[in-house]
Order: sequence, then C-alpha cells, then structure tokens
Amino acid sequence: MNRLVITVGLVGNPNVGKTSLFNKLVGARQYVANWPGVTVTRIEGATSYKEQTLHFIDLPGLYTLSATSLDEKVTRDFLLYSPPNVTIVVIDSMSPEQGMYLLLETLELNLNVIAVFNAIDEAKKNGIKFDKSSLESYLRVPVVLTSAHTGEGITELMDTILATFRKPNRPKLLDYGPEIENKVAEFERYFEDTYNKRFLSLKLVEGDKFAMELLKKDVEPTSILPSNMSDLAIKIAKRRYDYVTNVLNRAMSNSESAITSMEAIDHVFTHKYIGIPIFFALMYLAFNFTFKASEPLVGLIEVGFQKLTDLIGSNSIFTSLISQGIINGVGSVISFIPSIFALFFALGIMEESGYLPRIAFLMDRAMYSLKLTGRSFMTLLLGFGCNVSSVMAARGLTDERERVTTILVSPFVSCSARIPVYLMIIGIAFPNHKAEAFFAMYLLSIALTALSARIINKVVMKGESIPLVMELPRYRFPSLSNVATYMWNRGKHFLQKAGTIILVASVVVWVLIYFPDPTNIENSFAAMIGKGLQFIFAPLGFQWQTVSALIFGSVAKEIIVSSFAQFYGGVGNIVLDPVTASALMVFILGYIPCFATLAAIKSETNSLKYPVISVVYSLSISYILALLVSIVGRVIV
Amino acid sequence: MKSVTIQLWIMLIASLIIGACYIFEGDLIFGIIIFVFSTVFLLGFREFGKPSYSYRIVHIYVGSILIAITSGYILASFLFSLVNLIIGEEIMNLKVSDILLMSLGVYSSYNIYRLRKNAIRPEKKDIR
Repeated sequence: MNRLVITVGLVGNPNVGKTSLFNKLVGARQYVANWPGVTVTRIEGATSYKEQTLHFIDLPGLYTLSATSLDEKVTRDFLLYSPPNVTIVVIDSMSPEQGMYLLLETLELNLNVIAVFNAIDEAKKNGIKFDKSSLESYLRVPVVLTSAHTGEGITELMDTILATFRKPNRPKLLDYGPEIENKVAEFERYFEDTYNKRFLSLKLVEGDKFAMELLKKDVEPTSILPSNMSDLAIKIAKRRYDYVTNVLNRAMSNSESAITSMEAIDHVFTHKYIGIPIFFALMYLAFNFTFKASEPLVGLIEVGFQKLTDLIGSNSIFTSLISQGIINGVGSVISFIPSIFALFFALGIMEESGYLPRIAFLMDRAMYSLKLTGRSFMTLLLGFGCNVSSVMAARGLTDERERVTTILVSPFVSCSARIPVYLMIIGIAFPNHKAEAFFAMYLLSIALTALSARIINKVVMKGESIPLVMELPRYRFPSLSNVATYMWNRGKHFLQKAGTIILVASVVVWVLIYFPDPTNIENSFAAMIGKGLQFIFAPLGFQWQTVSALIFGSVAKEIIVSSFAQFYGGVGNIVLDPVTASALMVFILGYIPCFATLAAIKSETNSLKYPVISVVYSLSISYILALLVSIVGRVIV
Repeated sequence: MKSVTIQLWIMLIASLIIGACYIFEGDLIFGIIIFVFSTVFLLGFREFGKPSYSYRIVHIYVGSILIAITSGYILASFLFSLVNLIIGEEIMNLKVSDILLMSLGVYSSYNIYRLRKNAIRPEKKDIR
C-alpha cells in the first residue's frame, strides 16, 4: 500500500494553543508560552497514523488574513501560495469569537478546513458547553473539541484529518449581500486566474494592500476602488461577527458568575499604583530564589571540579591542558548551571502563569515615552534567554521603526550567557549582597535598554509608536512540564555552548597562557595581548587579565569566566574590589553583542549598517557608563 | 461585609508585623517586599460603594496569593539549603520572621481555598 504524505497546516489566533496542539500531534517539544506571538516562523513536524504520514506545519498566529507583520505574512502566504491538504483552524473554546472570524476568512480561501475548539477542558471546568453537531451544521466543516493539555480529542482529530483528506469539503459559507457580492464579482476580473479570485476580491473591498499589489499590471487600484470602501469593509466585518454571534448563541451555553479569578487578579496586578511595585517585588523574589536555590548545588559542583583538578595535577603539558584548560576552564562555567536553570525556573513560572504579559500592559505607558510599546517589551523579555531569540521575535512587530529599534536594543537585555559572568564577579566582590547586586544588574539592563531605545529613536529611527492593542492571555496554574520545557529551552544553549565554543575557547586560552613561557604567566601571549591594550582600559581600573578576558569574551560572554579561571588558577583566587567589579559588570552588560547576535541582526535587517551601528554604539555607551561608575565609585568609597 | 473587613484588618496587621520583623532583623529589602504586598490589603479599604464588597474580597484573595508565594519561596529556599549537608556546610537558619511568614502563608492558602470555593469563580465567559 502506498504511503501518502498529507500536509496539515495549523492556523489560529495567537496564544490559542496551536504549538501545544502541534506538540501533542507530533510528539515534539516546541517552546510554548502563555502570551501571544511566540511562533514567528513556521515549524514543521511529522507523524505516522493509520499507515499515512501526517506532515504538520505550525504557523504563526494571526487575527485576520489581512496580514501586516512579517510573521502574519508567513501564514497568509503559506495558505495562499502553498495550501496544505488539510487546514486546521484552532479556536480558543474560552473565547471563540475571534477564532471563528478567522475560520470564516479561511473558508474564503477555498481550503479543506477542520475547526478545532481547543482548551475544551478549561471550558468545561468553567461551565461552557458546545453543541458539536450544531457547530458542524452551521459552520459546515468538521468540528473537533480538543484539549492539548489533557490530550482529549487528539485521536478524533487524527481520524478527522484522514477523513477530511479523503472527502474534501470546501463550503462557501457567507453571502455578504448584493452590494458587496456585486463588487466582489466585478473585482474578480482584475486578478490573474492563478490566484484565488474571490478571496483577493474580498480583500480588495476591505482595502487590503497585499490584494492591491496582486492586481493585473494594467489595473490602477485608485481607479477601481469605490469611494465608500471603508463602509464596505465594516459591513464585511460586521457580517462575519453577526454570523459568529448567531452560531454561538445556538451552539454554546455558559454559566455566568459575579466575579472571576482573572478579574480578581487583574484588578490588583494591573493596579495603577501597586501594579509595578508588585512586579519589582516578585522579580526580586525570583532573583533571590536563583541564589538561594542554586548556591548549594553550585558549591557541590565546584568542590567536584576542584577535586578532579587536584587529582590530575598540572605537571606536564598534557595534564596542564586537561586540568587547567579543560576542567578548570569549562568547569568554572558549568558550575553556574544550577543558577541559570533556577532563574529560568522562576521566570518560567511567571510567564507560564500569564503574569508577564500584564507587565507589557503596565509598562506600555513607559515604553510609549521611549517610542516603543508593550509589544516590544514582550519581545525584549525573550532576550533574557538569548538575544538572538529577541532579535528574531521582533518579526512579530508590525511597525518597521519599532522592529528595528527593538532589534538594536536587544543586546542590552542581560542574556543567559552573562549570568555566569555576573555570578562570578558578584561572588568575589559582593559576597554579602549577592541577590541585590544581581537584581541591580538586571534593573540597569532594563534602564540601558530604555535609554538606548530613546537615543536610537532620536538619532537613527524617527517616528511615532502605534498604540498597543493586546489580548491578555488567561491566568493559569503553571504546569511543571511546561515550566520545565521553558527552563530547558532557555538554558540548553548554555549547555550546548559549554560542550562546543566554550570548550574550544578554553583550550585556545590555555594555549595563549601556556606559551611561550609555561613557568610565568606574565610572559604569556595572553598577557601580551592584555598588556598591549591595557592603556585603553586603565581609566576603568582593569588589569591585563580583565582586558584579555574581555577580548576573548567578545565571541561568547561565558568565555570571560573561563579565561579568568585560567588566569588566576581558579575562580576562588580572583581578587576584585567592589568599584572595579561594578565597572566591569556595567561594561560587560553592553560592551559588544556576541557573534551569533550580530549575525541575527544582519539577517533580520538585511543590512550591514545595523550590526556596525550596534557594535560602535554598544562599545561607546558601555565604556562611558563603566567610566562613570568607576569615577563615582572611587569618589564615594 | 463585616467579616470581610475584619479579614482585611487581620491580613494587613499580620503582614505589617512580619515586614517590620524582617527590617528589625536587618533584612531591609525583604521587609519592603512584605510592605508592598501589605498595600494590597490596605487598598482593599479604598473600595467603596455597593460593588466594594466583591472587590474587598478580591484584595484579600490576591494579597493572600502573594503572601502564599512569598512563604513558599522561604520554604523552598530552606529545602534547597539542605543540600549543604552533603558538602558539610550549614543549612539556612530560619528566623522568627521566616516562621511567622510561613504561618501566615498557611493561613493565606486556607483563605485562597475558601474564597475560590465560595466567592470567586475560576473563569467567566462573556459573549459579545
């Protein structure tokens, strides 16, 4: 029997559980978050079911097929130019109106559609009931009620995919009335036969710019579009919403109550006076937890590596390479793994519960004064894991000025690579105020990001922000598996780097330390490099070891720890006074984006100009700030 | 209504005492954090008028969640410090304020359970 490959596209509004459903269908572990806009590019995965191969494509979320941002365009173009065999429109059972609106639009594309009402477990818990047969009869497509959380309805969905593939069903659902239908029929002749003419004509009536671009070459949009176009667009939207409301009135029932937990929590967490203080208090707890939870484990790992180093010794070139270059170099970085995972565990709980998107809402006013919005804030939050992620996630921002600004300020968000560097320096210079110093670095990171956004908007990218319209996700109790996935996805880069780039860099640093004179580090190549450039950093009070470590760390920040450990024969032997340590941390906060981030900036902006601006600006601003800290610190201390 | 107001007073005074204890024990920042959370109870008194009854309950509910989170954090930190026994270092010493906070955390958890069951529904659906 021939094995067919059936392509299945997953479409839906942002944050309705498409990626969770995708994970359940193909057994993947793609990162899922409780806020909109996490999937910014298509993700593919395949599974076998009843001797057929189902090839699933998880597409970025969108509210309407009149796409404006880059990620929304990915979805629209995919559906238009390479339609899948079966299209699943994922609808949130707790709030189905917008999802059903998108379903109606998708049907205009003449696709083979299944409507999936997801999060049915939550709906049931809250007294919401759906009459599936009524939904199927009014929507004229197969309907499946699922829960990506419990797995309910997943097998039925797989069977429905096969059945829909074998018996395609492409209903024409809505009649928009003679005025609009006549216009649509008139516009259809302005498009080439290769396109879906009805869909594009409807979009043209709605004033969609993309549809205008696809008109035949000799057709001038302004000459054919009616003067009452915006009225017609409103009539189309109203017709769709009326239909959705009518269907829901007949096929859905719910029990009302006086006050909900979401309203209760939002009443306090988004309070205009105490919302932000509560946020900072919770963030401080998260940072304090990072230290208290991880310190014993860090100690345990450090003791283990120390014993291993002592056991091997460093009498010969080979044993020196193993004990100093590899175990001491890489081990000094690895010992901070518990701290990194503890931080992401705490942040994972905040994000998974749906709390962090509220901060975007609270911060929107402050962000607006920086010519950014809460959307940028959410994008920048991804940078706490890896700056490359926030640079990529900026695709979801519709305003080009805001997108480029967000990309350029992303490197100032303290990524996981900087965590071991801060932890090492804080452990040396601020042993009694670790959590406070660590928290201060994150506050400074936010301040520097804000300042940079202001400067970039004044100098490079001028314009006004589009006001934030954001759908807040529901609060939910964080599941351990989702928090663990979040923690793993954010922290795994660190482990991968430890086994690759940090290992290689540690060996290179060892070579530069060992040669040409193994008996005296002051005569090493590393010392020559550091001493040669020390004059630049002399005002900041940096020794040659620090200068060399900073140079090596421009590849990846963790290499700074590895270099320090090798220069001093272990992290415990490093001596740094609080002022120099503060200046060093401030400098490291922004001194240069790592190579991977620079590559991402270049690819996302399609220009070499922006990576160059990023390097020059970050070096300048971090040097000035570190100098200020150094001068002020020495006056005070 | 009277019991709601009494409940607010109990939570406010208890959290203020614990915050003050942390400050007297030298943990200034943690004391401030408890004070920030106690303002949730304090602002509950500013909910006037007929709907105020529900919203005062909201302040008890959310304030209790915050206190429960904070006491859970202290408990988790203590449990993690037990790993220190393996490497021969000291475990975290629980102070008087920590014990008081954990006790209030237990009471707050009871509050959350009780309010969720009787006064606050998990979610509401609103058809436009």
